[in-house]
Amino acid sequence: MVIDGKTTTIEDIMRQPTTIGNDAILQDVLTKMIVKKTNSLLVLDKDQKLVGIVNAGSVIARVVPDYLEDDTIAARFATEDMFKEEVNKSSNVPVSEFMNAQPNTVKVTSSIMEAAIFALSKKQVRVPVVNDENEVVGLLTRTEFKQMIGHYMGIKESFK
Amino acid sequence: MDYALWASVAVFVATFGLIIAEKLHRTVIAFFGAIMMIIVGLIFGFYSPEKAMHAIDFNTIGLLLGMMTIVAIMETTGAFQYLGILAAKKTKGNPWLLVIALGTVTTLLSLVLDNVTTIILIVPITIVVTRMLKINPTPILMAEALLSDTGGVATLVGDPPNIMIGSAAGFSFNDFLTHSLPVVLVAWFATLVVLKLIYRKEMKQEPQNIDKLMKMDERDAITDMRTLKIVVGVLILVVGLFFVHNILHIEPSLVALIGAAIALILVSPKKDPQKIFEKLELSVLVFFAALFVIVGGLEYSGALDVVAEMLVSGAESNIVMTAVIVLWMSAILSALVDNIPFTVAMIPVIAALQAKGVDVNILWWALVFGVGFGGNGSPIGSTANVIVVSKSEQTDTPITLKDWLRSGTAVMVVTCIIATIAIVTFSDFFNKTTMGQTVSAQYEESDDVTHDNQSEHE
Repeated sequence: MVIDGKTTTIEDIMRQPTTIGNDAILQDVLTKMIVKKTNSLLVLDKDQKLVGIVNAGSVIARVVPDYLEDDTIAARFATEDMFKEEVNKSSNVPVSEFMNAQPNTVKVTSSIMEAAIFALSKKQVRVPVVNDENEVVGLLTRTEFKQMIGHYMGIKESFK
Repeated sequence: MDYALWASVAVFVATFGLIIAEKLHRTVIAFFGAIMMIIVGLIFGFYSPEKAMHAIDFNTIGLLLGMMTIVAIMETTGAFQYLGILAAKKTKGNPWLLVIALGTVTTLLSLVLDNVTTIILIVPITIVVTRMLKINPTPILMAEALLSDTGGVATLVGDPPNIMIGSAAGFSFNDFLTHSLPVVLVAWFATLVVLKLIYRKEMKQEPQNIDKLMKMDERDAITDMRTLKIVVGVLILVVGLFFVHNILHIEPSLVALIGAAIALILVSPKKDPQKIFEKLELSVLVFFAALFVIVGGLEYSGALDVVAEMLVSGAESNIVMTAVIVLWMSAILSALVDNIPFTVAMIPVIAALQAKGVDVNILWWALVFGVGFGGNGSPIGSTANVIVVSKSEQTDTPITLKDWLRSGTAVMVVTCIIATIAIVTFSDFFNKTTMGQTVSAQYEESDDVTHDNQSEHE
């Protein structure tokens, strides 16, 4: 398929990701998410290689104690103080402890269909695009796929 | 030299060794070992797929399957959390009364229901309550872990080892109530006394936010009143049938499966019950079946007979002493390693002694108490213990090995001493043929079936 006379690849539609170093703690992660108005960050080591992905869900999961995660009935009775205490306890947790360390990734040469299927996974809706050296070159979110679908349908406002 | 015998022993030792080493998953290695036993058996001519099928105690598997189904339906209704909150409110936040109340709720639930489910559902609400009150949850969590194991010892259906032993020995549900329950009552009381002594510092904590605890409405825990009513009705029916299963001449497994069938048809008549069945621990059932197949191989090869031959003179000359040895040996082993493989291996040994004319009933009870109370001896002694420790990890006071050795191991030793005193003092009572065995024997005679329930695998 073609935009402006060229075949469209992942490279054409991906966006620039927001990243964070793997030495960050939970508070840094949350600060960056809030400042950059994004729900996910790619975690890079000092050589700029991709080592994980964190999203708002991973932050929430780290704050909620494990013993309540499978018991929504008990959680119903937890007080607001308890949530606040858990937040305070979690703020210094290193990102490596709650990031997804094995994210699905695609290459710039991968098929858009494969990337779209990854974007459907419940755990990780954002798909990092990497080169052969595992360096991040872009990011695909559901927005890009939505635009692609719109484009194929001839919705003229897509990819603006 | 009997090659068949040694081949079966080799497969058994290798498989059980690997299970105990815990490097591989127990179900995977047991399944592999069971298949190996059948292949080796075919080669040496002592075992076959048909004999292996016969070796599986389907009474145990069926009982577990039925009870697991009922519990799987019950689990999402909020009944456990309801009871937890109700009990906690009755204590008005007093730390010592909380130990008694939540410990007792756990004991009562474990009498009939699976210990692991009970623990999984009672621990989170316990931590929520103790955090609200700002008290240390450790004594209560320890009470729940220790008393779920202890409560399980009291009934035929309380714990998988009891199901297996009861099935092999021909003990009825009521036999456990007359023989095991009284000992468990004393052990229950002793456990609380030990905990009170060990945690006297924690018991003096001043609970805060008692008003918040009292404002908790246990009815908010109930998610599905209709399902809850059905399951409670089914449980009442099942327990009622357990009391009379022996008189009606039906196996406990059939009782549990009747309950499961009624619960399913009332709760999920049109929907595929896959969601409910996913909660059944298929891995556990396969593990048990595989162990039966492996030990069945030992039995058919004649290896167990050799062991029984070696033990028979000692056992005969002093049966009470033998029982005490069985009790402590099984307690110590159950504290250190998985108690199921040990139980499955011990059952045919005792059955073989019985076949040689030894009165072995006291040995069955010694095994019940040993594997049951022994599980409290270490954090890995039972699945319930493992779960309590792992759930405590994210609290401010994780339960450490040291904590466990201080309280859990003390409780194990005390309860095993109580059981020892019981079987020594009332040795005649424990060695007598039970009501359940008498009733089954009469039934079998009148039915003109020559079926010796101690040698089912023959």
